[in-house]
Amino acid sequence: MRPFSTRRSIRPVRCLLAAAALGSAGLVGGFAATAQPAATSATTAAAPLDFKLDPVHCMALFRIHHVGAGQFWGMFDQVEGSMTYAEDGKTAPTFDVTVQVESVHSGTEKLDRTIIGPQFFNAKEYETIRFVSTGGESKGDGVWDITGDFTMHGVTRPVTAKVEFTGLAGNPVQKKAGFEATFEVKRSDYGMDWGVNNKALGDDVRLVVGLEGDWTR
Amino acid sequence: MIKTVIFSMVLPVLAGGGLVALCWLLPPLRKWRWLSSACFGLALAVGVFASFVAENGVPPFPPAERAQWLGLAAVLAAIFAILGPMTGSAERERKWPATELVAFLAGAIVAGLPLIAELAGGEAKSMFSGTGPADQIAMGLATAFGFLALDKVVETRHGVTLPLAFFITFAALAPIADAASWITLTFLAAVAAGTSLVAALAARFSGGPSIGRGGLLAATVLLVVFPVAGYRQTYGEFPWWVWGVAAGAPIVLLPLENPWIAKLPPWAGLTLRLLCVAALAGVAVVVAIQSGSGGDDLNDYGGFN
Repeated sequence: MRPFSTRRSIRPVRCLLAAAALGSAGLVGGFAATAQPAATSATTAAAPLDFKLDPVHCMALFRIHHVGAGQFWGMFDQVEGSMTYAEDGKTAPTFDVTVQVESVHSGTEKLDRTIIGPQFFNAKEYETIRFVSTGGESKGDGVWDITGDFTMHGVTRPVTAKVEFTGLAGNPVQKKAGFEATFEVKRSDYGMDWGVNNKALGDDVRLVVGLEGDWTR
Repeated sequence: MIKTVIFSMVLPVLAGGGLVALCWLLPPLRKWRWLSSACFGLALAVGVFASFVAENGVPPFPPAERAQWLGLAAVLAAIFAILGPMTGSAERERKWPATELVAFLAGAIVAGLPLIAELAGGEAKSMFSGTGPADQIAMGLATAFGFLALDKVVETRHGVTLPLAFFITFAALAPIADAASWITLTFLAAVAAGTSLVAALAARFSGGPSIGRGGLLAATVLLVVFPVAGYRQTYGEFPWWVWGVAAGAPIVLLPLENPWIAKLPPWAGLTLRLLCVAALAGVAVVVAIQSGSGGDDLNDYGGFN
């Protein structure tokens, strides 16, 4: 009876050990699968991951010279769109970013209405600002010069943005990637020229766009 | 800001006001009946167009942007100012349906502006954001009935009454447009007000000329297009009727053309009429400013440059 009873008592332990072994093998396999693109990147570029922009953690800041004196900052807080990013950093990230003009914040309600009104962004006619990347060149250290079509006030023109990779966070199931883009445009190029001639407001507008996206798998 | 005020307000008022002053004050020109009847409307159109161009450049036709209809409205006002006197003056040839026909045609043209723009090669789009056929018909009816309502007043009230009434009306539209944060419309209304004031001064010293059908049609077009543009294109936080009450304030002159008011001394009648216009326009301004406050006025836009 004893051996029998010993055998019976050992069986569950073996089963547990086997299950643990299988489970750990599975986990390792899972990590290996996740890490695989990086491992193969020595020979081929990793497939870019798709990210959907997280509107809560994206924003677009603009800066403009006011009456030739101070630099005035405003913000659009509704930024939507998508981007791609290859973890090996060999492929330039791509972006399709849309900003809702009516989401502007300047700190003053009346000024907000002026900015989105017909004098400037004319949001009732041109509801969005959009950037769609068309190419990119790596500058090293997670920095790219991303070229793309920038549409504002109904006018589309090519621009080049300096885009810095700010981080990739998460785990095999969930990932978040972040970028910060900086570029300048002349608003008169986009037909938004009120105050340029009399220097009430500068022509050059600097945009700083903070992007964070959720991996869509 | 000083440059902006000079180019967008002072010079346009000088251009428009100078035109009407010349036409009404110089005897050879004053005797030219067509010119005398057209010059107030032409002055409004010249002033408004000059201000628009100073701010936004020459508007193309068909317009590329809806806001350019403001500049084109000035062109239409000029055309109406030129053609209006040719339809006969109310005092000489008031035969039905001539007046009504003029009103109907003017209203139809205003209502059909998007269609005309489309026929001229433009893309099919509404005149202002969110306006549809119903809005266009309403604008046409407002033009027609505005003209019909005030044609009789134009016939009766020569001299300073109507230029001052239009001065008050346009002067009220300027702060309302500012409360809605549209700088261009603010300047255009201010220029129309300034031009009307110069016209009133000229009328005071030139024997009381009539603004004529040309002047009435031009003013009516501007008073229809300005508020609709202001309401549809901006984000003003006040009710829509503010625009309508301010722009429609001169209509109050019609019921004041009655035997009781006519018995008052001229100065009392004039004062009463202008007070009634000012009361209506004033209510609109107060509501707009109270609802649309919170900013730093023109310093928001340009400061002191």
